Amino acid sequence: MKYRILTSFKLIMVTALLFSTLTWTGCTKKEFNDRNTDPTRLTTLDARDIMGFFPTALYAGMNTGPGMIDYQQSQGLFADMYCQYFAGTQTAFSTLRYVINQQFVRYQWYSTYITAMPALVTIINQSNTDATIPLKSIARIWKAFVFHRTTDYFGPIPYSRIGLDSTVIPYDAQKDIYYDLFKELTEAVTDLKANISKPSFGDQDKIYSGDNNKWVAFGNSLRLRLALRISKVDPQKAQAEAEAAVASGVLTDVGQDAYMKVSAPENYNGLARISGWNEFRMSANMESLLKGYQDPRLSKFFQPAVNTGQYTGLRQGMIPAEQALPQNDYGIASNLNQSLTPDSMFVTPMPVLHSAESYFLRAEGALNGWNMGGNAADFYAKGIEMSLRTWGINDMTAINNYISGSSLPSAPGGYFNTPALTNIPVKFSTDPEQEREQIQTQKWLAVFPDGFEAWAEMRRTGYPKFYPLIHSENPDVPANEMIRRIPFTDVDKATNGPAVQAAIPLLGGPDNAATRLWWDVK
Amino acid sequence: MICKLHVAKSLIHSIMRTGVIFLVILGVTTQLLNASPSRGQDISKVKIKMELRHESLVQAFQKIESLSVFHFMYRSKEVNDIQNLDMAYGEHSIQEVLDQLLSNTSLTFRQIGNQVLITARKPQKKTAESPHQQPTGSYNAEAPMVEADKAVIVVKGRVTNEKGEPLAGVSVTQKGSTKGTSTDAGGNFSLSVDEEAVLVFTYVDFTTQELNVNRRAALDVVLQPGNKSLNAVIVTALGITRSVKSLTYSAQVVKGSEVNEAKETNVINSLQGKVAGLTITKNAVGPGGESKVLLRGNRSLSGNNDPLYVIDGVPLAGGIEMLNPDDVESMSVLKGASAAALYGSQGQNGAIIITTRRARPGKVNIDYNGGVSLDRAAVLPKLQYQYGQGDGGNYVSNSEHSWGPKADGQPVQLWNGDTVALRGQPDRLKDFFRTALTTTNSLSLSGGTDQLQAYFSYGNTHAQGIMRNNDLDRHNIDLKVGYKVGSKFTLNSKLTYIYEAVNNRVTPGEGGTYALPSIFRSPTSIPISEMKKYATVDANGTEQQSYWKPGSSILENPYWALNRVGYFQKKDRVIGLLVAKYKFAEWIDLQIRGSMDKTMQQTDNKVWADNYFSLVGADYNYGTANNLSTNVDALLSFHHSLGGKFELSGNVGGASQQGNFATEALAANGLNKPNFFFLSNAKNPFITDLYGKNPRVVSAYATATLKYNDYLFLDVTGRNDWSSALPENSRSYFYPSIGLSGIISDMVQLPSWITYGKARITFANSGYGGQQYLDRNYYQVGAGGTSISPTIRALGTYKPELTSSYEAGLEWNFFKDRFGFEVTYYNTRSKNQLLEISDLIPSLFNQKYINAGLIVNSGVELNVHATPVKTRNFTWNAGLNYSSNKNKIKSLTPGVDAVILQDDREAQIRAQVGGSFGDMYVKDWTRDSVTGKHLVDNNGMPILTSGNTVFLGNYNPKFMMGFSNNFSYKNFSMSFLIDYRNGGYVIAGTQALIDADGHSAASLRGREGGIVLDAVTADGKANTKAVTSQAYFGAIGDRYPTGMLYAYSATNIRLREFTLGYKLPRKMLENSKVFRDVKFSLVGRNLFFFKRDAPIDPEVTLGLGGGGLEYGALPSTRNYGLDVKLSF
Repeated sequence: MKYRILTSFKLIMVTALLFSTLTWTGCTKKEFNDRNTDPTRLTTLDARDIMGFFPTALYAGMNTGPGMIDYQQSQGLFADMYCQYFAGTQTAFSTLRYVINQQFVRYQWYSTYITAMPALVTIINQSNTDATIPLKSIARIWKAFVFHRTTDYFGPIPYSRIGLDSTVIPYDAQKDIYYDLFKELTEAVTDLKANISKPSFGDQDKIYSGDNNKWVAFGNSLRLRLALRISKVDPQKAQAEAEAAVASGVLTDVGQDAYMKVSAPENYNGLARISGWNEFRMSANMESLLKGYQDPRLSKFFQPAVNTGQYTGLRQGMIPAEQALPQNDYGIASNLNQSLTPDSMFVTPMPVLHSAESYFLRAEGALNGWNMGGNAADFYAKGIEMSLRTWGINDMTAINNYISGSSLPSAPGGYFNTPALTNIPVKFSTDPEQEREQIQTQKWLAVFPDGFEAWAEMRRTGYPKFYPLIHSENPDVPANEMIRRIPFTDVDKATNGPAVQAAIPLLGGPDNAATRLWWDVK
Repeated sequence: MICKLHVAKSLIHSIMRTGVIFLVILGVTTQLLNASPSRGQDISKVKIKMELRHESLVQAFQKIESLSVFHFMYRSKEVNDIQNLDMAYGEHSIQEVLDQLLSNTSLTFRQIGNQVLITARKPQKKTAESPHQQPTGSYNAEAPMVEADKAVIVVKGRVTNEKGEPLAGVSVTQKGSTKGTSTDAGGNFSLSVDEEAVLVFTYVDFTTQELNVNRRAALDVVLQPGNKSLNAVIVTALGITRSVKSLTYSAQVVKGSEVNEAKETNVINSLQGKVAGLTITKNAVGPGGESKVLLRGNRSLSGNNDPLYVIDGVPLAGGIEMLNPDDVESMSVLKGASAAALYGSQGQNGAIIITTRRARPGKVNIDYNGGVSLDRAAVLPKLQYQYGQGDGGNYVSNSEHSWGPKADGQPVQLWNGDTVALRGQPDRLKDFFRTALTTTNSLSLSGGTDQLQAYFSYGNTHAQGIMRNNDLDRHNIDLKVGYKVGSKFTLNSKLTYIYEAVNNRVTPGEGGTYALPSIFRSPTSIPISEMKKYATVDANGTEQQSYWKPGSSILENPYWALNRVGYFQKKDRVIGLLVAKYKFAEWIDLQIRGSMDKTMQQTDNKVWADNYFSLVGADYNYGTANNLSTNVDALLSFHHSLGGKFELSGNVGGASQQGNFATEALAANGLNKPNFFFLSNAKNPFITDLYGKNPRVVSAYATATLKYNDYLFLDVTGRNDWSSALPENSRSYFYPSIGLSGIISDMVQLPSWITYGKARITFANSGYGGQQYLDRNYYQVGAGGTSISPTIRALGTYKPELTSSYEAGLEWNFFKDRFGFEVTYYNTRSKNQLLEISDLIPSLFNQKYINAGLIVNSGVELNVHATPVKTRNFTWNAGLNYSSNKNKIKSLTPGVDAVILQDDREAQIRAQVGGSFGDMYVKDWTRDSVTGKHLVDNNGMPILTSGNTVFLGNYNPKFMMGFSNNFSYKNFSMSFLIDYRNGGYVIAGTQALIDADGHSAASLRGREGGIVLDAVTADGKANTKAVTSQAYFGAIGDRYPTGMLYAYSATNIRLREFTLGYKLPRKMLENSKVFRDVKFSLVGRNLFFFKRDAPIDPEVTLGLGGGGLEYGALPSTRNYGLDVKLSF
C-alpha cells in the first residue's frame, strides 16, 4: 500500500514536471509573437484610419490637443506675448521679458514635427489614387500652413528632408522653404480645383467639414499672406505669387472664414483653456487702441477687470516685484471675454484664417502697386467690416462709423504712466506710410488672437507700434526693440547638432533672438 | 498497476533525459537510477552493485552512501588506517558488503534507521545484541570502552534554542561511544545510555554542548548559537539555502528583529544604513509610500534600477511597501548581478529575498507584537516673522508675499474682511503639520506536528501622515501550511492577502493638491485660524474657496487644498504559493513551485468646484490597475560525493514567468452637479487610458557547486531566457557565472587568534529581456476616432541588455569572532542598454529606442563588526558598513554623446559620455570672463543664464556609512544607528520659492536699503546700484530658480535609529505560566542630524525619479514609538 501511495506521488510529481516542460516547450514562435503584439494599437491602416489623421494634424497645427500646456508653451508665452496682445502676470515666467525658455518653446517644435507632420506625411504618402486627390491636396495646404508658422519662429528649419532615420537632418534656408511653400500651395490648389466635386475629409475636416471650395480659397489666401511676407526681400516673386493667388480666388466673406471646431473632451480652444489660470491679461496696447477708437470689439475680446469693472491693460516685461504690486495685479486688469475663458473651451472655435485678413493683404498689395482687383482704401474698409462681422458686429451704421472714426488711441496711464500707443485714427489716411500703419494696425486687431501672424507682421512692417518692455532680461534684445526670432531649440542642438551648426550661417547673423529672419529686412 | 508502474518508470527516464546536463556532471552509474527509495530499509535487504579497487574503507563507505540512503557514522581515527580494500564487482546486500569489508578489522557495525554506526568491537564482553561476533583480530586500536557493568537508563528530553523553540534533527550521542540518535520535529529525543554518561548535542549553527546525565531520566537542553562565520546559512536565489562560507559573492542578511522593532510602515526603509551598498530614497508622500532602492548604483539609464523582491520564493511584481514588518524573519540582500544571476532579467539589479516567519513542529506558539509611534515634521523651512503680507513694503491683503511692512501688531483687514493685528505667526508650519499617530498590531499563531504545520498571522497598521488628510489603513493576513507525507514528500502553501487604503497620498511639488506649496508659500503674517476659514457658500449653495488671492494660477488656501481635493487609493493584493518537494533519495530532490502575485488597485480623485487649477469646475477621475505576475518553476537539486574529498551539488531547473497588466482611467471632464462625485454625473466622460500587456519569459538554468574538503568551493551557473518582449531572432539569450571561494583558515594553519578567513571571486553575466511592443511602430486611435502616429521610433533589432560583472572579496574574523570584517570590490559593465533617447525631432519621432551604451559601476563595500565587550551580563556589539560607488558613462551610441534623462524646472539631468548617472545642469548667475565676478546689468540686477546649461555636479552620494551599536545588559538592550551620507548635491526648490515670496528668513537680507550685489557690470566696473530684496530674490528664486544658487551639499549625518528594550526575566514568566516572552522597546527613528548643509532633509526629493531635486516636498519626519512583543 505504502509503495502504491509513493508511486502515485512520484507519478504526480513527474506528471507535473512533464506538464511544465510541455508548457515551456509549448512557447511557439507564434505564441511569443502574439504576446509581443499590442492589441490596443494599430499596425496597419485602412482608409478611415488615414482620414483620422487629419484632425490630429489640425489640432497640432493650432498647438492644441490632449496636452494641457501645449498651447501656452508654444504660443501663449511667445508669439502672443511678443506681439503684445497680452501682458504676463505670472511672476515665474521670464519669457515675457524676452528670455527664451527652451523648456517651453520646444512644444512648438514638437507639435509641428511630432504630431502634425507625421499625420500629414502619412495622409500625403498614402493618398495616391484619383479618388484621394482631394485628401492629398488639402493635407498639402495644411502642411504649408503649419510649416509657415514654424519657419517664422526660427527661420531655417528642417523642411525638405524630414522623416529621415539618420543622425543628422539638415535645415533648409528660409527662402527655399518659402519658395517650396508657394509651389505646394499652387499645386495643391490646382489639383483640388480639378477634383473639386470629389469627397474629401467630410466630418473629419474640423475646419470646413469637407467643403473643397473653401479649402481652395484658404489655400489662395495663405499664398497671398506668404507673398506679402516676402514682399520686402523678394518683391518680384511676392507680386507674382500675390497676383496669382488673388486671381485664383481668396477668402472674401465671413462665411468662408476658417475656424477650427473644438469638442470635449480633448480638443479644446487653447487660449480659452489657459485664460483661467490668470497668468496674463489684456495689454496696454489693446487698451490704448480699443479704448481710443471706441472699438466695438473691446467687449468682444475682453471683459472688465474683476476688481474695478474697468477695461484695463498691463505693460509687458515687468519684473516679479513690479508684477506683485497692487497697481499691476491681474485683479485690476481685463481678462479675455467669457467666450474665451475655460467654461467655453469646448465651445468657442479657434480662428484660423479670415477673409478680413485677405482684404488687408490686398490693401497692402494695392499700395505696392500690384493688381489686387481693387484699391487700398476699399480693401481697408472691407477688411475692417469683415473683422467686425467676424466678432458679430453686423450693424452697418456702427461699422461705417467705426471705419470713418477719427478718434485717436488713448493713453492707458497706470503705474508706468503709459502714453498712447500711436497717433493714427481708424479713418484711412492719405499719407502712404500712415496708410501702411493703419492697415497693419487694423490687421493686428483683425487677426486677434493669432499671435503667430501678428508677431510676424510686426517684425516685417514695424506696425502696429509697440511699447518698450519695462525690462528685458535677454542681453541680445534691449527693452525698446522688438524680439526678432526664437533661437534654435536646445533639443535639436543636443540631438541634431551638426545640422544646427550648419543652419547658423543660413541665418545671416548669430543664433539669438535679435537676428532678423530672411524676409525681415530693415 | 503494472502498466502504471511501467508508465512511471518511463516517466522517470524522461525526467532523467531532461536533466541530462546534471547527469553528465554527476557521472553516476546507472544502478543508482534503479535504487528505489523507500522507507525503513534494512541493510540486509538493500542490494547494491559495486566494486572496490585498492580503495580505503572511507571511500567504500562513501560509495555505499552514494548508492543507498544510508549514512555512515564512524570515528575517523578508527577507520582511516584501513586501506587497499578490494572487492569484485557484484550485487550484494549492504550487510554482506560490510561483513566482508570489516571481516579483518576490529570494527563492527549496527544499523540505526538510515544510519550505520561503525564501532569497535567489545573485546571483553560479548553482548547478545551484537550479531557480528568475530574473533579478536589483529587490529585493536584504542577503541572506546563501554563499561557494561554500569546501569543503562533511558534518557528522554527536549532540545530548544535560546528562544525556547524546539530544534529538530539535533544529533545526540553518548560521549565516547557510538550510541546516538537525533531529535524529532518537536525537539524530543529518547536514548538509552549509561546512567553516568556524558551526552553530546551537536547542531548546525549552534555551539556543541556536553551534559552529564547524572542518573537523570529527563533532560531539557538549550543550545546556544555558535560560530556564525562557519555555520551561518543564507537563503539565496531560487530559495536555495546555502552555507555562507560557500558563497562566492557578497550577500548580507538582515534579521527580522532589525526591521520590526523600530518599524517603518514601508519595511524596506528600515534597511537604510544597515546594508553596505544599499541606497534607499524615501518617497516623501506620507506613510507607506514606495521607496527607490538601489544596490550598487544605477546600472540602467532609462530603465528600471529596482532590485527584485522575492517573498518566500514568490518573485513580486512590484515593491514590498505593503508587507507587514512583523512577518519578516530575515532578509537576504544579494547585491550583485552575480548573486542574482539565477533570477534572470528581474534580478539584474540584485535581489532582496525575504523569508517570512513560518510554523515549526511543536507546541502552539502565539505571538503578539504591538507598536505605537508618533511622527513629527523633522526639518521645516526657516521663515521670517518681522515683515507682513504685502509687496514693496506695503500691506496688501490679497498678496501671496511677505514683502509688506514691518509687522508690529498694527491692525489690518484681511482678505476675508476680518481685522487682525499684523504680526508674524511663528508656529504656523508646526501647526499645519500634525503629530501623526501610527499604531500596529500583529498576532501570529503557529504550531503543528511533524506531518502538518500551520502558521497564521494577522496584522494591521493604521498610520497617519503629518498632513492632516493623509492616512493609511492596512490589513495583512498570512496563512502558511506545511504538509509532509512520509519522509519523501512535502507540500508547502502560502496565501497572503493584503488590503491597503490610503487617503490623500501626498504629491510633492505642484502636482496633486497644491497643499504643500500653498502652506510653504503663504504669507507669514496670516494666522492659521484665519486660513482655516477656507470656504464660503454662494447663493446656489455651492462652496467657494476663500483665498487671499482668488484665481491664483498656482496656489490655493492650504486648508481648502487639504479638504477639497481628495485622492483615495485602495489596493487588494493576493500572493499565493504552492511548493511540492519530493525527495527521491537523500541526495536528490525535485521541487515544483507555482506562485502568483496579484494587485488590484482602484483610485478616486475628487476635485471640488472652485479649485483654481481645475478648469472645468468640479471634476472626478477614476482609475483601476490590475497587475498579475505568475511564476511556475521546477528545480531538481542534488548533492553527491565524488569520492575523495570532492563533493558536487547543484540544481537544474526551468521557469516560466508571466505578467498581466491592465489599467483603465476614466475622466469625468467636469461634473454636471458640482461636488457630486459619480461617473454618471460626468460632463464629458472619457476613458483616457487602457492598455493590456502579458509578457512572458521562459527560462532554463543549472547550477553546480564543486566542494573540495569543505574549504574550497567552485560555483558555476548558467541560465538561458526566452523573452516574448524581444524580436524573434534575439529572443533567446544565455548568461553564465563562475565563482570561487576558499576558506583560507581551513586550508592552512593560521595563528589561533584568526577564527575564520575567506577569499572569494566571482564573474557573472546577467541579461534583461526588456519591454514588450518595441519592435514595431504602432498607431493609436484617439478621442473622436482620430488617428495618432507613434512618437517613439521602434527598434526592430532589439537585443537583450547584458550586464557583466566581477567582484572579489575577503571575509576575516578574529578572536573567536569578536572582531571581523568583510570587504568587497565590484565592477559591473552594462551593455546593450535599452535606452529611450531623444530622437532628432525632424525625424518625426520624439524619441527612439536604441540598444547601446556602456555604463560602468565600480565600488567598494566594507562591513566591520566587533564585540568589544562580552561578559556574562553585558555585551556590546558594534558594526560599521561603508560603501562607495563610482558610475561612468563610457559610451552611448555612435553620434550621440549626451542624452537628457530629465528636464525639470530646477535642473536638467543628463547622461553624458564621460560623465555619471545623475549629473545635473542648472541655471547659473553669469560671470565676467575677466574678473570672474558675477555680472549684473545696469540696474544692478543679476544676469542669469537662460537655460539649465551649467554643470553643477552629481546627485548621488560619494560614499555612505552606517555605524550601529547594540548593548545588552541582563534583560536590557539598547541600540543606535548613525547614518552618514557623503557627497552629492540637492537643489532646494522650496527655499527658492519662499525666498522669492519674502517668507524665508533668508529674504530679510537687504529689506531696508536694498542689496548692492558683489558683482561687476558688463564693462567690468564694480556694481554700485542697489536692488530691492524683492527684485533680487524674485529674479533668482521662484518657480524656475537659478539652480546653482539653490544647490546644497547633500552630505548629512544623522541618528537614524535608537532602541531601548527590556525583556521580562524568564523566572517571572515561568511563574506567570502565560507568557513565554515579553519585551518592551522604546524606539526612535530619524531623531536628529549631527551634520546637515541643506535647508531641507536631503533625503526628501521630488518623487522617486527626482534625484537631487526638491520642490515643495513633504518634510521628513522624526519618529518616536513604543513596541511590545508578547509570546505565549
